[in-house]
Amino acid sequence: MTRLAQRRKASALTGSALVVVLTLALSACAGAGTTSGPAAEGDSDLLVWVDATRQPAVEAYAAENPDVNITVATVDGGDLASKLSLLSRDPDSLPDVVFTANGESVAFARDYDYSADLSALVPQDTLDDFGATISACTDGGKVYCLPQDISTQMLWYNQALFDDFGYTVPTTWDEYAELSSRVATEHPGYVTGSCGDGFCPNVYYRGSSCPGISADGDDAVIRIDSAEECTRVTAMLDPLLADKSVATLSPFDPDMTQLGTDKKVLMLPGFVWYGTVLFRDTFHNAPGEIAAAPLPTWGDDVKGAGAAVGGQWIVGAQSSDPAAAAALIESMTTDEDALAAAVTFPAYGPASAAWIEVAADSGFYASDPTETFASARSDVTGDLFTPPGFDILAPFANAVAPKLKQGDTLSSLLGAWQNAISQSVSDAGYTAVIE
Amino acid sequence: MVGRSEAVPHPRSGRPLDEAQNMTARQPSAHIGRRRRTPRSTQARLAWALLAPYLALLAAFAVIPIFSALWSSLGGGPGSRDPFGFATMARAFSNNNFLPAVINVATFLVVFLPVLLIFATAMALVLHGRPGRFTSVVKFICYIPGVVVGAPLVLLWLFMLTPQLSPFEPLLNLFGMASAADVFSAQNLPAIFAIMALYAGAGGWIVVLYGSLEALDTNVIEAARIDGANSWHIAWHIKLPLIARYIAFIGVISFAGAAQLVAEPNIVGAALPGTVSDTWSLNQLAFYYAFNRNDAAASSAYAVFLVIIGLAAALVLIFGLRTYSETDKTR
Repeated sequence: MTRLAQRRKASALTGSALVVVLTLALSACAGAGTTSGPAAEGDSDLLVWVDATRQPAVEAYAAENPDVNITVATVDGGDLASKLSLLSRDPDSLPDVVFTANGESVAFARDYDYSADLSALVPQDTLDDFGATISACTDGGKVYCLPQDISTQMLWYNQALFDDFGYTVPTTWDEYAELSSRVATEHPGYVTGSCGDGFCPNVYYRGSSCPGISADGDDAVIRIDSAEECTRVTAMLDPLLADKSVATLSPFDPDMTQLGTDKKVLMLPGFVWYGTVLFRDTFHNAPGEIAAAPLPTWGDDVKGAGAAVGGQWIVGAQSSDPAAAAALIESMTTDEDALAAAVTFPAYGPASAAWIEVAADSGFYASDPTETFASARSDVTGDLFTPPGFDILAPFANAVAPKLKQGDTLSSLLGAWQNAISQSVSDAGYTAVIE
Repeated sequence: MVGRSEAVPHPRSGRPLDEAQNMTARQPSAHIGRRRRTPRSTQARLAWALLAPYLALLAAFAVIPIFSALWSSLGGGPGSRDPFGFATMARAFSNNNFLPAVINVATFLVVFLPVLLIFATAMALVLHGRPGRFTSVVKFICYIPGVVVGAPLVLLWLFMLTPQLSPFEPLLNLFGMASAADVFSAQNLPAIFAIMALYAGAGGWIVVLYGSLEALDTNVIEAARIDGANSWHIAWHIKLPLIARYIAFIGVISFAGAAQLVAEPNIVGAALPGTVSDTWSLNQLAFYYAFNRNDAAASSAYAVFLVIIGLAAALVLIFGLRTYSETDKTR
């Protein structure tokens, strides 16, 4: 169950990392072990470190490419940094390819000179097809990884309940707050959102373009309690937490599952993969009940759809055959057929279109989700790169969520949140400045 | 009462107890002559040979890791970001998460330790007060919970305390707890972890304390009874002082173990996201910095802190509680 602990990693608690983790948790136990690929006589030897979820894909690639001698080792995501750090003094033992679910490619380049620049190894056209998602891999003009998947946000709602209650789907957060308050009085017991762990800031605060932390030289400026993009979220959530329309539960809390299976979840702003992972497989909603609408906006035309890049594939700078390593990660991140069938939303443009088609054809959604999904992806335009330690999610889960569940208000816990963020950025070597 | 046991025959040898004890104690000093040196040094060699495997393992898995942690916490380990000295320690102990973790563990200890000691002692005294078939059954029942320990124990309690899953749902509802979030709220956590630890540990210690009561000299108790002491007087004035050092031993051992709390908060936190901080306990804090922050130096500083707590407990046990080290003299 260490995968669950890994979920709570401080670095980047990205949505898709969670999917990986959940999948791992479902697959019971996947301890670190080593399996060998086919021992074909090959021109090049590649050592590949992946998590248990990616292992079959790499093994399949190894079987299809007998000229490359691939050795696959499963390495727990939480151990990657410490293992690379230990091996960095012995470059020969370093892996040629690493998969990280925690968005560490740039950190590995900065801290251990590990990640290779892919600009020369992967065709520019292919890099372009990743669109804005490649920004999470980019630092100082160098591309340190190929992203596997991306988490975009939307408003999930129960179409059947909306029809019953005669509500209209909100398009702005003001409408969302208003409708939530109505639900609290007209249909108490139904929930319109969740705020009980790192998903809460991920959806509400990042969905509002809340800057949270920004780097200013060696300073990390924390503006949770001063930037308008952040304070408006706190002001919106506190009344909804008080009237219990927004539950102080993680979407993956057993209590939330109970609400979901009781069909008490009226709407839930969250990630693109909630449709299958949460509503279909956890809440067991029937086909034709659940639909997706674009995430509400703050009425200032700014679509603050916070997105997070999930898995990243990295080539080791010391690799004896960087071209073969790059070919492997290119296959992993651009194979349309394989990615279209995956749980998470592919980062690679053509594959994401195929993925949306599969979702639309599944018959699960109450209305065609194509437009919502496609627009959620095209909304991702900003720089997705987050410096190491610049994490507002884990500090929220650790310092805020437990007390929120106890009935404290969000505004009374901002100090504790900022305090925890300060620790996180100073761990990463920055000086915390609270504004 | 101490003097009375002098003339009492030893239960097995039939020799007066004092003599039986002194036999072993005097044997070496009675044979100090030159010619007897050889067997004595053979004996010493044998003792060292028997001790050697233990000492080798102690060095490999306790002494060397402790010094390595100390070295690393002073900034001497690989990947340290601080200059050699106390910078890492200062950084680790001024960490925003350190004091809350200390408070959490201390709260847990304050709830857990007194309840454990009072409950286990009271149970053992009550059982010993009325021996018979009933007592044997209860002793066996006491032992059963001790079979489930560690992570499975936490899972068991997680099920029992989550209203939707628990067979005791009506009982939990009676206390106003309708959901897991009501039960596992931040202020309840120390008490919940204490319940888990008590359930696993108390039974075993009751059996140990009962065993120590069984070893008491029945003549002392008989004499007290003849002098007019009732069951309460015997338990409070005779038995309790005689087993005090065992209780102290349990207290010290449990203190050191409980200070290293880690499985309980970890598993509850994994099952109920956002309920327990990743750095709730000191051991979790050490784990977090070693594996989530790649900061082995800070992690080592917390490890050293835990070692100091453990060593302090052991030193209190050996030197602080005179009754423990001077067992023979008090007899």
